[in-house]
Amino acid sequence: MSIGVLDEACPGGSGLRDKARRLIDPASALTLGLMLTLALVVLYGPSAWYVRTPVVMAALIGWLWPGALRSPLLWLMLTTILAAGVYVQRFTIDNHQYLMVYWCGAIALTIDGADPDALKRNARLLVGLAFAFAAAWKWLSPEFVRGDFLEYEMLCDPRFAGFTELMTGLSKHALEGNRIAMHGLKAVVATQTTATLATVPAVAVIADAMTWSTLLLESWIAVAFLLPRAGVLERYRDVPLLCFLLTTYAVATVPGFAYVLLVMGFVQCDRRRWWIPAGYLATVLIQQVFLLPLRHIAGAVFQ
Amino acid sequence: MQYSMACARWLAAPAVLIAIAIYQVYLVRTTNLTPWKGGGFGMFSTDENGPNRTVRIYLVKSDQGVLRQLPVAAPRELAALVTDLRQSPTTGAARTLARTLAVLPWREPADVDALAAGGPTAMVGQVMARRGGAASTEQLTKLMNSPRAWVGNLPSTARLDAGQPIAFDHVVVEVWYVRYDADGPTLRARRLLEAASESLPRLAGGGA
Repeated sequence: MSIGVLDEACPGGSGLRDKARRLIDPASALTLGLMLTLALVVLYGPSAWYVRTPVVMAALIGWLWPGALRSPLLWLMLTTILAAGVYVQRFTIDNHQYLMVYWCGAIALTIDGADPDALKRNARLLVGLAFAFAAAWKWLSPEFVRGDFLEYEMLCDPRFAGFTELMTGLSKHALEGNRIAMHGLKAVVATQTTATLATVPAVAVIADAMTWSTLLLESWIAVAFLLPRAGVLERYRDVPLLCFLLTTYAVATVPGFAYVLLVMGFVQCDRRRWWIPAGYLATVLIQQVFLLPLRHIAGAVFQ
Repeated sequence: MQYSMACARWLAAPAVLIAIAIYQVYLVRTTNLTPWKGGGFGMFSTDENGPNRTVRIYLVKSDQGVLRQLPVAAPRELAALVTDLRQSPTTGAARTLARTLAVLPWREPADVDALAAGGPTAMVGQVMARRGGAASTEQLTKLMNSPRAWVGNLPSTARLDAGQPIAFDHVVVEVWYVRYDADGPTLRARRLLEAASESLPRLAGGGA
């Protein structure tokens, strides 16, 4: 299947069709990937002023200065700034900030075009390795494999509160009570050392299902991206990654991580199947929808 | 030469990722670094993360054979040190924080002893008198609006008055963690480590 499918799918809408073709065409995909990377580092890079200001300046140069987007010097500069920011906060900063540094470093080393596929290979390896380590940590963590960790997240993590309320029927007040109990144990002055949480049986069932789907999905992505001859797994490697991006980040919203995976996924993906790059680009937009206060909006609409 | 350069170009970034991730595993095993941090991609694999850890600080004084501990909060200026300790708690780092805190000029409200002399009953009495308009409330209001203890001469405490020095023998820093136990289900807080500054009577309390 090729991007020519779009011609068949949208015979009448030539304007829209041409625009979509241009977006996912291999010739423009790299430029689009680089522009998205600049957006990524500006929106979700380290927030410290000594990183943000030079990163925004570098990104503006990349966007506005003709030819700068493909200059190794620009990307080397960005890599250095981001790496310095990560180093200063190396034990507190999130893992996707490390991944941004590796990705910008890979661009700096390969953008001169000596090997046109080098950046794609880097993207594929970086995605595969990140998932391999993430999956390994989970497989080796007894509380994760038992389902206890996601049970805990559903009961105490405010990011999961809307999901837990919707899926299990556990009331907002019960979840709030769990979080208050948690805060009590972490207070500067200790008044107690144990606290019992409110739960319902559905929490454990859903946590188990999420545990195993996460383990399988992350392992599948790692294998599909790292093994060069994994047959159908390798050929359709983008499918589990897109599934991961559309399910995991709908619940645990970490947009920085989602975007760095999206950009690398988009750059390395197989363009013979038009729906794969199109899927990545659609997911770029969908990630922003996940950031909306959907629970509150729905509550206001259906009140 | 050209081949090795080409290999370096497409292997350098993944090689750095692998090296840092392996080093992070070593740090997790040796320094209590949370698997969530440090570039090893262990996030969302365990509840053993920084926000589930608490740093507790006590100013300790031996008073006629009784050990008195005053729980205090680290000043905002040391927030980064406290965060680092939560993410990667080691006895050495806890002791460093304890030593740093031990040489700071800790202060408390000047009237705290007089107000606390009668115990909670006296304080309630004062509040009641205030409501009835029968007593001056200045002293009590100041006490209610002040933290129990603070470090003097810092930008974050500039709004507070000079107070009175707190006398203490040494500072104890503890790191606690909260773990989830599916039986119950229950949350349990346990002490991960503890470190104390040496007794520095001449320095402790900033000349108290």
